[in-house]
Amino acid sequence: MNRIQTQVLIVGAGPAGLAAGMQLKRLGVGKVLVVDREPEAGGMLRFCHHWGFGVFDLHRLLTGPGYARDYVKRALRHGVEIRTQTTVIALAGDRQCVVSSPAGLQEIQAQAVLLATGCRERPRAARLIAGHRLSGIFTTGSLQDFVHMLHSPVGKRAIVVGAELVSMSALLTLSKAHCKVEAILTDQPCHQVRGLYWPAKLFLADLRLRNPILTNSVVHRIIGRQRVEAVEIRNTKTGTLRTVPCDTVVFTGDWIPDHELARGAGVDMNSRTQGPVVDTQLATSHAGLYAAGNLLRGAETSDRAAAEGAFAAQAMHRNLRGVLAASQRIPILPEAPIQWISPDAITLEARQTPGGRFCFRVQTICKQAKIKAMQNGEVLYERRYGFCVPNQPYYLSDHWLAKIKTDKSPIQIRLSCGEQN
Amino acid sequence: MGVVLRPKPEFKLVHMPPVSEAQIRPFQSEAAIAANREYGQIICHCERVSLGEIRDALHASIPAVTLDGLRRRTRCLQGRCQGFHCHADVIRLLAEELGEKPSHVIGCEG
Repeated sequence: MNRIQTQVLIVGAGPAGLAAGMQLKRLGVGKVLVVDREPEAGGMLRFCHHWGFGVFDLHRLLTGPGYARDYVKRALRHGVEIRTQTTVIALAGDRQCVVSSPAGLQEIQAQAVLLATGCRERPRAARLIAGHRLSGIFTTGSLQDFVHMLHSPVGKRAIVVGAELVSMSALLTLSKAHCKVEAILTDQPCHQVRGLYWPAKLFLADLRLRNPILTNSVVHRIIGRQRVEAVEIRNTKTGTLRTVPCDTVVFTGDWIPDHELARGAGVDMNSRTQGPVVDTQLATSHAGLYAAGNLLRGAETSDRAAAEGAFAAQAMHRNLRGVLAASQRIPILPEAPIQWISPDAITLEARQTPGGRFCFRVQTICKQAKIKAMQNGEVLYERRYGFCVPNQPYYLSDHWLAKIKTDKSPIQIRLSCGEQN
Repeated sequence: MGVVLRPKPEFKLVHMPPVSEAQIRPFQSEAAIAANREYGQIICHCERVSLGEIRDALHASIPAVTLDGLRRRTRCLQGRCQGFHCHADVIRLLAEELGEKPSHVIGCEG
């Protein structure tokens, strides 16, 4: 087995990994190696053939593949070495890893490793939905792959499960494949496309495609023998069942980080985000092992992932130079109804976050929400949010990090709803 | 008395490929990848099924002719992501082998 030495190894050539590679090169790191298991670099965005990317970070409106190409081109220009079709099959805590590729097995020893392995959607099997194993069941990712790579029809009538931002991607892909959408289901009392993205939903689902959104509804059972024939929909409020004939079911959203490498390396995991625990330098619990992008907590927008990659690169660069070796960590404990907050720990030596803000999600709908960051009962920061819905990203400014006391007591993040106050 | 049983010289034992992690899988073996580069080209990342293994299953003595057959022989599409990443790739390979349209493989007319 031949051995490679590198200063930095980045696993995953999506926006986070490539942004980190570029930033490291700008800071003057000698050798930066990015490995990706797919035949092409660029990450999941290569299949999101619709507009809406790059507005906040590149200040241009790009499609997913355009955004991915732009990142790959710029990374190569910066001198980042990208190896595709290279799968990391083992990663040890001492930053030594084994990769498998058509060129054979190789051992890579790096001084610092960044994990940017991204995330996936929860598949049908993991949602415990009754019925046979049929064809015609997709997730948004596999649907986009199928339609844009094979240019093949998927079906005639579809049900989309989930009414969040990624569901709009599924709608666009289905309309490209000339598949009519019978209904969009959500288990919440309202759809979850809010804020900046609300006009996209208005234009696409309401005006152009005229897709009904069934609220408080879940898939009870999928009917059919070979191919999906119908779907039984249950209303969670009234319990009534309703059968809708269709031949395609698309499960959207409900992200799970692809955390297998991180878990294999033995870093501390967060059961809420299902990603590795990272501090405000995006460092994991192992020295020299960093994590960025959607691996941390499921899908956020591409600009957030890229910002995290570049942010982690700065911390890695400081680490390579031997600055900030020992660090003192304070955990952040979010309380229900907050689902998770990322990053989920604070390093006192580096009191900042990627893009100057934390991101968080809520579990249930919160009206007149007010968030408080507290340490030992003392309120460090307070902000009103108005109406919060699940699956929608919310951000929390980080300027209160300067007020944290160094007595190691954890930070509590509490969200209260208007009715209770 | 009775039939005398003798081993048939022309009998070929059907070997199933190693799909369990108890044996050395092709992606872990330098010799296998050196013999055929396709064993280093992973299609299904969760179960780490290489292109070579999928081709083997499609050309086996009892070849896979459906997606489910390919699933049982190689475990592709059966991992934690259930085809989020590789669904289209596997369908493409099967459709090319059968000479059918990808939409026929998933039971869609047109």
